[in-house]
Amino acid sequence: MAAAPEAAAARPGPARATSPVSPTSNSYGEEMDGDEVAGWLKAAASGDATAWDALVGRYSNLVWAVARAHRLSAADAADVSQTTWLRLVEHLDRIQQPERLGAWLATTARRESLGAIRRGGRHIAVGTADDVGPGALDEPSPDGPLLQAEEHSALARAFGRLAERCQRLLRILMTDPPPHYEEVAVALDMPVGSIGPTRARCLERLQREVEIAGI
Amino acid sequence: MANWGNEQTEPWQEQLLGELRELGRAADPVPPAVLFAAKGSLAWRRIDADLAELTSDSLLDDALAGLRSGDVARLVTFEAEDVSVEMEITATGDSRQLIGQLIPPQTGSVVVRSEHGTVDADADALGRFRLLHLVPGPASLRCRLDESGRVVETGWIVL
Repeated sequence: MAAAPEAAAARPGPARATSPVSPTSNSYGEEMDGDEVAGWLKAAASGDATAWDALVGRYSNLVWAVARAHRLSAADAADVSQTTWLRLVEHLDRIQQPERLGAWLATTARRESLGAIRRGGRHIAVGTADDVGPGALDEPSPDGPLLQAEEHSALARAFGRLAERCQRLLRILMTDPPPHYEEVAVALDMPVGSIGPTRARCLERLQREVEIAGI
Repeated sequence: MANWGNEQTEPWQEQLLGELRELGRAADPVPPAVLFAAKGSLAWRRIDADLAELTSDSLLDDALAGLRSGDVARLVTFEAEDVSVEMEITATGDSRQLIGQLIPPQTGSVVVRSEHGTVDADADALGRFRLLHLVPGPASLRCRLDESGRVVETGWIVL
């Protein structure tokens, strides 16, 4: 059993040209390897801790990012993470599409995140695209923003000046390893087709903020 | 697989995303305790019990969306085949209370499992049980129904 990296290695440097994308690919056009995940799931269902650790290693950043993109405090995000992984443990023997496990986890994490917001007693318009829109997020979490930069780096400040929608999207896209489009879509309840254009717009705005700040 | 179009990923976008990724790693990584707990979750995998899935949670009901969570008790229902567990969860400050019922009604035993340990209670002839002073956070109930001999574990919810 191959040991999974605790965190993915840094992306290779050179820029990529055009790449075809699909819901199960990331923005680099890389498709998910369902076989490896299927193997881990099967082994974990029999109690194989190494296989389970590999799954956690592969997806823990994504689950955390979903919770943080919903503006949850570290404590609430920890609960979201825990219940999401426990949900997977409950369903280890019944995951139909291993190649979409990331999307399954992201969906679960979103559901748990919405539950955490509900338990916080905030008033939200349910079932609309604004579920986690500005109305629910106008009070900053006491634990800090999406990025708790200890030194409040200039990039973090520029990030903080972006519209909420961009902060949410970029928080997911910043995940290690880069998420697949479907994972992004279900994490934020966005149509897959809108991810590319929104990503481009948000990066442009971030670049502008960075330039304005003279970084 | 449908193509969603070709994407031009320009060098400066790559660069910026790379810097964001580094910032994310430094500024908001998954806390070690969270990672540790996630890895430890496998220990909760079900052995000799059926999963009773959450089928209803009043916390998620649209009709109650406007009420503050502290004003009404939370009602949850878990269902497995031929067995269900209904509960009312109330909060008093940092403490949680749970009043529930095994269905079909019968005596049995209930164990609340969480990272804080276990708390158990017996169910009376009507299947009713009560648990006090529970700690908020993720929990699951392992329920044994005496008459049918069934053992179910509820899906994890956050008290």
